[in-house]
Amino acid sequence: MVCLMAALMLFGTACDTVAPVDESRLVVEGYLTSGGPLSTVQVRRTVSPNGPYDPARAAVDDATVELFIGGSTISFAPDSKEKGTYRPGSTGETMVAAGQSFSFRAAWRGTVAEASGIVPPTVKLGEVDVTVPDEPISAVLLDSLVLSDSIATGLYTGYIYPIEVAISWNDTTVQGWSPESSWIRAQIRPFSAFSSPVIDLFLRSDEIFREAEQMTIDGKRRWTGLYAVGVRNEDDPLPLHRVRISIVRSSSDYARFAASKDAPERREPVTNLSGAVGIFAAIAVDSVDVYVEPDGSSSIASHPREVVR
Amino acid sequence: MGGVRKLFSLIVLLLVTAPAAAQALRVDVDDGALREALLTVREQAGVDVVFSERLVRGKRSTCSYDGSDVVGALACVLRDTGLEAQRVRRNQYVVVQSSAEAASSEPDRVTLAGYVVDGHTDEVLPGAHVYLPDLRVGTVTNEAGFFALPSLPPVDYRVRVSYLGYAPVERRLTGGGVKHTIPLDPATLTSGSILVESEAEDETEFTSVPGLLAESLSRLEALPSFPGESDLFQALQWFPGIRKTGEVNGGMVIRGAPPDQNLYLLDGAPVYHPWHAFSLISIFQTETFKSIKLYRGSFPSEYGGRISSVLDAQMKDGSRRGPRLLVGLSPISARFIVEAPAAENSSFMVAGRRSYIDKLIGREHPVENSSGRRDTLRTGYYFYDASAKFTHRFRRGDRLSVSYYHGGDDLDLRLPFDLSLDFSSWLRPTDLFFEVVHRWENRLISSRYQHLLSDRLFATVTAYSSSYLAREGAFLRPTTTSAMESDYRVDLRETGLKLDVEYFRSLDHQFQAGIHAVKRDFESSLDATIRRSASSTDDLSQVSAANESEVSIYVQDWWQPGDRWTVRPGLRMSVFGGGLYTHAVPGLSFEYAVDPQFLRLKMGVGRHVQYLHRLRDRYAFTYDLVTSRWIPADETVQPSTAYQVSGGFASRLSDGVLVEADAYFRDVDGALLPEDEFRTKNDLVGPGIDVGELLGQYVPGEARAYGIELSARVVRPDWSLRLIYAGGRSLTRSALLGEDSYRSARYDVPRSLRVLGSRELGNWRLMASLDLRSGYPTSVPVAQYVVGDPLDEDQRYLHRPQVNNGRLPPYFRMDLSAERDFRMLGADWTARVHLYNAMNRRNVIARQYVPSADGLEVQNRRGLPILPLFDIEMRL
Repeated sequence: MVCLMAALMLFGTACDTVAPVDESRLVVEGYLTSGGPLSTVQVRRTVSPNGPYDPARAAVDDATVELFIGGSTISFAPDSKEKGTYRPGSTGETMVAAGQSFSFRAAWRGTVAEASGIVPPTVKLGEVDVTVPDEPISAVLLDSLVLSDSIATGLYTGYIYPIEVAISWNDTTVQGWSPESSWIRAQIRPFSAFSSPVIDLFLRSDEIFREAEQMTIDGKRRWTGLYAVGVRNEDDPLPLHRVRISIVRSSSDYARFAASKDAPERREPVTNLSGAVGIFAAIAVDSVDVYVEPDGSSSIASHPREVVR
Repeated sequence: MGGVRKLFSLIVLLLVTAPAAAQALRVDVDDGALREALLTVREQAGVDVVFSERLVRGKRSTCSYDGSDVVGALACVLRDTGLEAQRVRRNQYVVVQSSAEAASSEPDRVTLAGYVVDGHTDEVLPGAHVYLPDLRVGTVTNEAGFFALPSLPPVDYRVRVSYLGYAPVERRLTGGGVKHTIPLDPATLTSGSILVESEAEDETEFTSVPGLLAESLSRLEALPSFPGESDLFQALQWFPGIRKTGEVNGGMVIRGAPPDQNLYLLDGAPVYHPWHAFSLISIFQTETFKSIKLYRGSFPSEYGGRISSVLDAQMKDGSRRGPRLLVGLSPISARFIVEAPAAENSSFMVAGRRSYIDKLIGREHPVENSSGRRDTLRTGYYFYDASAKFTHRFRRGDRLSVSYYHGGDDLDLRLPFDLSLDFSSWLRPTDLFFEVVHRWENRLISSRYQHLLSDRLFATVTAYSSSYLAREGAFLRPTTTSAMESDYRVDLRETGLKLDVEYFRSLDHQFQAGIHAVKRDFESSLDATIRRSASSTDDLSQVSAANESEVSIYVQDWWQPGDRWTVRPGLRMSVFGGGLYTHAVPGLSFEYAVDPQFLRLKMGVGRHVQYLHRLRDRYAFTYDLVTSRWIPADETVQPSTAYQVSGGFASRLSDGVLVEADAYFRDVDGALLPEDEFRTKNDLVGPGIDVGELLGQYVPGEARAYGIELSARVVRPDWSLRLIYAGGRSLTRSALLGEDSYRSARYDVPRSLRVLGSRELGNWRLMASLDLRSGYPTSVPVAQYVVGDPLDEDQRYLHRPQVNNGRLPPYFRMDLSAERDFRMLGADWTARVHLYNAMNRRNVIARQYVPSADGLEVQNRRGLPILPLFDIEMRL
């Protein structure tokens, strides 16, 4: 008995309690766009991390997907051509109206994913004001930040044009929607690739904030962002480029998801679903593409204002 | 906690119901030697009958007794001898002259009291054991080196005094008004060697107080320490259940508890940030102390404020015999200690230490480029300690000491961003640079007055002020139009007054009671300006201030109900925040000597409360890097409370072979856990320094730790071996994080094994150490998935459903060191060479999993490679 107790003390206390985890977790991706028709819903599953991601293997095509909105329940059916994609059933062109409450449910092999919320008021971008400096400035650039045993930082000096973009949008609300719980995600996304983790800290190209705390001018909320375009030499002109400016209004569900999705090397986004990962949320979105000329002038691109995918 | 209550009840039951055996006695002596008659009674009754040979020499006894009463038998034996037996404790009697023949002025009972001091310096020795072998009763000296054994019949006694690191002495002493001074000489070791130890030293160690980690300072000084110089916190890692959080740096984790649950005391004053060099070494220079007590697990009621452990260090008073000087040089710092008598009854100790890397590479570097542009770059870093203590003895039993400590770190950098391994490329004028100024310091002053009010009553008054100040400043200029400037300050000041009274009531009971009043002021400020472009600037200016008071009273008893039992019940009651929180927390520890020379059992249970939480902003990497903040409990955040139970045994299998085993369990409520474990600092500024914002990053949770610790030590004249095994778990959970079951805490290490071997060859001493442990927990992805967003492309993520569900690879390291003592220039020298990580094994100390085309990519950060280190020390 003494030996048994000693053995338990020596080894029993040292047992690792790591619990096995089911690799096949349900992954849901769906958005209800305020003022628009019902969109498709993606239903996938997680797959082993020890190999390339295989979309076909991840797709789930035998789930039951339902949405209760506007007093009716809408079933989503799997698209036989696009595995993992579920389209709203034949109930006509159902529009998503601001202020509607909804609840979502997806069931798959004993797993049920659920989410609910309220559709936010539509959002519409107003003025877009782009300010470009006369000449580029020198900046420390870095291709990527990685763990390193070396003191060398990998930084080098290059040149960038820091460009400010000021936007405004309508400040509206509807019954059932609480302005205090309204969040905004504003994004400036140049189509010319540029990234430097050091400089990115000083830029403001993607920000999530409470709408009520943003300043108002002439009844409109305003936000100013900053992005950068890199050039090779200090006398290079600003290249003609296109930039997409987008704004999303949502509840905290999507705001939390969006605020936590930009560091895949460290973490996964916060989900609002119970029983699954991913997101199912109602949003209002607007976006505009702008051409920025070498002389600093800008013009709206003839691009339809729709959800950018 | 039902289990704790049951255990407590069982202990009390055992103590109360310990049977007193009634022994049949038969004495039949006819004009026989009294000595033999007394021995007959002692043998038959199984009691201690202590007498002086001088007292009984030549005396005869005539007695015929048949019964079961020890007192009656002794009275019979001593009839007409002019002597009588006086009961001093249960089953213990002392033969004295009967009252009729004794001088009328002589009291019936006396107190045997005195002081134990260092024979070389006259330094008082707290924690020395004073033992009466014949009565099998003893005590331990208090902080003033004072001891008292009251209620003794007025005869002379054999007294054995021992202290770790000192040669024991045995004397015959008589109680009464005289306060004896017992000097102990440091054990005759070769320059603080840990190898040659006397048998008696082992015995002292063997009879340590339950829960107290006992170790001689000389041995601590000689234990391997990473930077080369003697560092207390590094040395303590050679004891079970203690290690630093990092490979060589980081806080001290004791039995799985995070560092902020440990209380660090320096001459009675708390130290809030006991670290230098980003936690590489501690501010506790082993050589400056005369005593160090480390309580792991349940600690006596005289201590409070933390829930894991207590480290109580006492600075040297300074030699009263003559001047002493120590000078040392290690790879990172130089140090000195001077101690000397200041006057007939005064002494002082002054110590200093400073790192010198800034002296080697320079703090400021004026630079100029080919176009004549000038700049001054900075690469300054140093840390420093200044300690001083002055002690004056007004008269015996009346001492005043004033201690001062000031230490800190100073980092001052101004460098270009694009650093490379080519150091010469750093020193050039540049538009794009960063500046970092980090300064943090501890400053404390403590004054202690110790007064012997009577033979049995000793009082200590301690007044102190302790402050921790920190400043983190940053200026980043990554482009010619953008910059970030921040100034973050933390200011924590504690002022306290303590009164402790010890009452030596009897041989069985030694009471201690005290009151402790504390006022703490917390203030933090942040001023940050982020200029994103020429026309866009964000300002953030915040101040956070709070102050709290705490009053605690405690009472505890050192109870020796029998010669094999030592029981220490205690109760501490504290009122925090003007009555916001009130806690009464009990504690109980006991030791039972199954065989005083072979096997002792120890056990302790207790509840502790901690009103302060240490938190760190988890957003901004420009501040809160070295200055984690202490937050007092208030209406929104509860104090942490913990139950602790520990028990074990110590066995001296033979001379020089000591085996110890302990098991422990701790249950914590009100711990604060990160709300988002995966968040890392990645912003210029976070939500701010407001306490509410900071607390918003944490959730209340529970913590639990349990495990066993085994240690074996073999000490022989020319070699020694120390084996330490610790097995256990440290777990946390929070219902607010949806956690139903416990998961590995950040510093959970299920298994660790340390081995230290030493060999002495003439003046050389060789050491080899092995450190093998489980890797730290890490969150391992178990799957991958893709999810999209209206504004971005689909993104692939690694699924980490559980925090700390995996582990880093096991950690293994071997160090070698060689040490030589020699005399040169009239001084004693010790030179050490230390080879850190002799096998150059690059242990994985951190790991990151990154999504890649092949699924995931593992990026490891590895520990230090092989490093040669040195230390040289001179003593006069």
